[in-house]
Amino acid sequence: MSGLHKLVIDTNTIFMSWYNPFGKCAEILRYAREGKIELFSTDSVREEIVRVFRRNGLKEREIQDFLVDLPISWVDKQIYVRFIEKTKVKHKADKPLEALSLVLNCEILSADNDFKNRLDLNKFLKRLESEEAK
Amino acid sequence: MKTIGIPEDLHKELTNLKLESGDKNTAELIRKLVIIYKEKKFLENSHKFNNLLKQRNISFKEFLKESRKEREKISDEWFA
Repeated sequence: MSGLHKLVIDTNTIFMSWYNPFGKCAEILRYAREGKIELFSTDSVREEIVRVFRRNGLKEREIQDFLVDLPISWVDKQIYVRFIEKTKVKHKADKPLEALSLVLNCEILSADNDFKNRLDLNKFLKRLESEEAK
Repeated sequence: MKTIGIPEDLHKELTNLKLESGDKNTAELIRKLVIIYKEKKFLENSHKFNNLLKQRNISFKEFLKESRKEREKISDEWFA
């Protein structure tokens, strides 16, 4: 395992980065693209993106175009499913993401305040900036 | 390390670019070009995403609500 910062990223953050490509969430994707941090998410988050795009009329190829260049490693549920019972987040639907963060021992980048181990994005970006300045 | 074959004119172009950019080697230059390409694709996708919201006449907040509903369905189907 490398010494890079690892994060688990939530759907809302991925959509936010497309919605505002010059905002803080997009900045995180930029750092990942440059190989400065590592982003992970669950196969269920990937499926969520596929389904909501499908529901909004996008074709499979158009959906794949959105997903193919995301600097995110998608993790199969077999890897994190046994950690679901150890999660503390209130909503059942959020448990896979927290389970993955337990597997990887890292924080979650999400707009959802329910996650106890949610990343403070502002602090994290400042930290990355100061590391780059060194 | 792997080797790729490229036409001579492209080789010359890359060598000139490497000198201009000050990159240590061509691999470093190509790595940067890949990042630039992916950034461009990301911006195109962002444009498509915002167009989708406009076409569907839904706000970003509503889009996130739809996404949340899908998450709950997936949770019931995959993690029952």
